Amino acid sequence: MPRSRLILVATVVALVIGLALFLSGHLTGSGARPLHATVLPEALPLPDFALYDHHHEPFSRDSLRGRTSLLFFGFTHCPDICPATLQQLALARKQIAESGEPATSLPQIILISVDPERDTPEKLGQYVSAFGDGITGATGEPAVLRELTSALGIFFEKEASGGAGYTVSHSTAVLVVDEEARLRALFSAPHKTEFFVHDVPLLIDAFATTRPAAR
Amino acid sequence: MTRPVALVVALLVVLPACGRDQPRSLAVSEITAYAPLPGQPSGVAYFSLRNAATSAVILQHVTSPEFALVEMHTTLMDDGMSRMMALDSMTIAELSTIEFAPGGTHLMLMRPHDGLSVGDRVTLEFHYRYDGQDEGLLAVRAQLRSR
Repeated sequence: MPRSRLILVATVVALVIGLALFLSGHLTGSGARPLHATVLPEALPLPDFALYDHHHEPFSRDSLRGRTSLLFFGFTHCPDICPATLQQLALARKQIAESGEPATSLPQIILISVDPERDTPEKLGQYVSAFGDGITGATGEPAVLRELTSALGIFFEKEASGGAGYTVSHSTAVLVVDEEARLRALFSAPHKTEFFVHDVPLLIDAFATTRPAAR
Repeated sequence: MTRPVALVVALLVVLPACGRDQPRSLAVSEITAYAPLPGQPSGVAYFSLRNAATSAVILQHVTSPEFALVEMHTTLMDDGMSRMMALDSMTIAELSTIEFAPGGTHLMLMRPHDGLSVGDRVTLEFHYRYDGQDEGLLAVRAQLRSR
């Protein structure tokens, strides 16, 4: 075979292989994967729970159905990690919206307060509204919070902080719950806005492809 | 005495108290101060604290005319749990920088005086000493931001 024809055949073969690899990656979705979240090998259905939100309305497992939720457990007197995380989540959702994601696909952001003693619905409402629209604050009876957090691997502990005050040590993970109210993934601290911006849309797409069939 | 002469005399009196043997080498930069969130008693401040001297500096405490109390705190991460710890003082090694940053060391701006709000300028006063001897005061201004 002439040398020029050999080069032509090799080039065509390389192009075909390259195209096949590109298409297989594209079609299976393996071209873009979450880089920062830890994805659970199996979806974990949340237990039912009875909390209340910052509008004094009941907040339960059913409140999480219908769209993806980003759950963070904290408290309003927390001056550092809680506002920083909520600010990052709110900014990430804004950037995801600006990238063209339909409003109905945007995740809802939920702060579950582990300090119900101080975090009344009014305080929660004031607090979450400082980070923009669409953030829900919820809390409830300590026993209910204990049961829910235990099921999700979240810990919190009230601690003295000197004087008459107290602080609450708590887990800093952001949990990703799908529209069937199942825990699917989590982000561990330290958090960065760009981590959420990159991973959350990919997770939402992946959840859509693995949604249980309607009965 | 004319006003400029009086100012020079005042500076000559005050400067020695700021540390005779050390250049003014503690500096705060990239300061971000957040006003307390609605309904909350504390704001927070983040910045870089640089000690450009050839000896360690002990940051003893921080005060502010606009807040009843300012405390140094650090957030400790322990197996995914966030714990807050108050710091009585902090040593900044020679020729080094300590970052006060979210999720780490930060200043708690507690119990703001009435009427303080986003956009107001506040003063943070860093009280320090070199090697247990000369004491100094570094005052910096910052504008309160919202989240």
